[in-house]
Amino acid sequence: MVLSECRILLVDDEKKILDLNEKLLRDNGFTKVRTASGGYEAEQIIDKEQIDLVVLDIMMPEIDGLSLYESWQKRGLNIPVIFLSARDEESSRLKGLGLGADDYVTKPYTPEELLLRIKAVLRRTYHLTENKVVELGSVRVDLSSGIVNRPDGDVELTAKEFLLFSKLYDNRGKIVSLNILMDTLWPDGSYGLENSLIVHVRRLREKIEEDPSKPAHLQTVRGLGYRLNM
Amino acid sequence: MKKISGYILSMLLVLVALVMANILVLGFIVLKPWGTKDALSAENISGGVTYENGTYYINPEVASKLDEHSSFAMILNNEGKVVWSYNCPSELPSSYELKDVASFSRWYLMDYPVYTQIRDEGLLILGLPKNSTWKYRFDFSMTTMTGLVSALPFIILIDIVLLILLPILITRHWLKAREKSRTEWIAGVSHDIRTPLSIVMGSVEKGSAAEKQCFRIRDLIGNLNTENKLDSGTGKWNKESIALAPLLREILCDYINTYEEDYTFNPEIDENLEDFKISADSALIRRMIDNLINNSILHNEKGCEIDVTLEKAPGGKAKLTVLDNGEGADEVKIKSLNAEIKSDYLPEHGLGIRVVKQVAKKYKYSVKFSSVPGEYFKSELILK
Repeated sequence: MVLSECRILLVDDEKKILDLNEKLLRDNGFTKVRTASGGYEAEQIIDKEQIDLVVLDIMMPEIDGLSLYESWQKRGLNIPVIFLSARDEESSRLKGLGLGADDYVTKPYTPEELLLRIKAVLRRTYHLTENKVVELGSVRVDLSSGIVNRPDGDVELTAKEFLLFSKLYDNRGKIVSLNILMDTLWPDGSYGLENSLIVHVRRLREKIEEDPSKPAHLQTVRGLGYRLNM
Repeated sequence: MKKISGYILSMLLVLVALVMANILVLGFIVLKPWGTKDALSAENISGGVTYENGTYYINPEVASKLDEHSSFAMILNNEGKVVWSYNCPSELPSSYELKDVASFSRWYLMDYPVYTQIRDEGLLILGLPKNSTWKYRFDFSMTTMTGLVSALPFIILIDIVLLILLPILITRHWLKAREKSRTEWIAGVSHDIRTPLSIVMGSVEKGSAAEKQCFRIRDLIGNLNTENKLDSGTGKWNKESIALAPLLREILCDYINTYEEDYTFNPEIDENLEDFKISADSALIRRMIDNLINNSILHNEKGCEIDVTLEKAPGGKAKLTVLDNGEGADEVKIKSLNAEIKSDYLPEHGLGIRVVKQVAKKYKYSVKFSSVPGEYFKSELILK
């Protein structure tokens, strides 16, 4: 399965938020988006349809998002959820549930932030690839297979290089900090792996840059991190 | 002012409560069997009944008093026989044994509350109507009485302590409840702003001036909530181990990603501080650093260079410096920024810096601001 084929359920009592988030997902290639304006409607959809991810508002009138989530947990439904929280207190309650940082977004958020979280959770849960070919000058990177098509022949990205490239590509045009990159590559603990990260970046450059000694796309931001310029 | 009047009011309340409690206590101490009013005591009645030449005479006044109260009187001789009576109910016997006397002198005579008065020739009995008097005996040993007297200073002492402590506790409780409702109110209003702001942020162009204003409102709401919780003490903060260098990098990346066009950021993180950790609430620390950088951005709308340096400080501490080459601030402003936090909020001093100072105060960090107008503005924060 590729990312864009995931079935996403958006639950929010605010219709404008629902419309906005649905449009955001459809504009970014997601074709199977469902919406529910309340907890009970969401329950009905969950019971009847296969859903891969739920974006769930916490404060809703008939049944709040956290109770809904807990009832799913009790029923053994392990659907990944991204909570939309509008109060600081909710964030601490979410932390209390043992959820990761990707599992909630505090309002107000930019569409970009929400999209990144959705992609991150889907990738993490289902180990998905994206059905997309990224063009970097004369070099083409196929995100579904991890194969780099260069003028001098095809090369394959290793698993770590692929993770690194995907993270940078998701945040293209933006600096991603060293620590976030290390956490992406080594989610179980990245302490002391700065040098390994540098090695992976160098190898990735050798594969995706036309001239690795003068990188045009994968830029180092001194002391902070890296950025993929398209 | 409100705090003081609340204190005085609760002090008065406690005072009234204490006085009432004391009256009750003293009432029990000096308790006497009441019910035989002075005018109708066995002693008075006995005084109104005279014995002359083998005949008893009752004073008309005393007799009318007995009538008035539907009461009766009788005299027993030393053998227990009734030798005289007035208004005596027919159901009562005409002679009594020693045990009867012992019983009714303490409680009741066939449900009549009675009182006795010793006379030369025998015993006068005053009887009140049934169900008119609750007759009960109290005996206190001398030990109890001595105990009561010696306890009195302690009771007074406890009164004084309660008089001081209770109003403080009551006032604190009131204030806490008020602060809590204020925090709730602000959180509620913030919630109501955050949802529409999400819609606006989802509709404006990425990187536009409108989006930047949205970020500004977002920061403002966050600071408002944080300020209130820190000020009122209603916040629940985590104690986390925070690696400062990675957090600072993340914050700087966010700022560069958003403000790169107009501002140049020069980060300098001492690599020896890579493992430097502090114990605090990560959201508070992030907000504090955010606010220092934001301060440089907000006061230099046309753009400037912002140096952010994390270096070692004496005593195993770390020093974070945010230095911009923008407009700076005059001496008066710097003086007020470096002064203690005042209870009244003055908007021109900025909510962001106020939160920085509150967080610094909470974790005992030191913070200092300095500037030369037209040259630079510098914030220095020592974290431990």
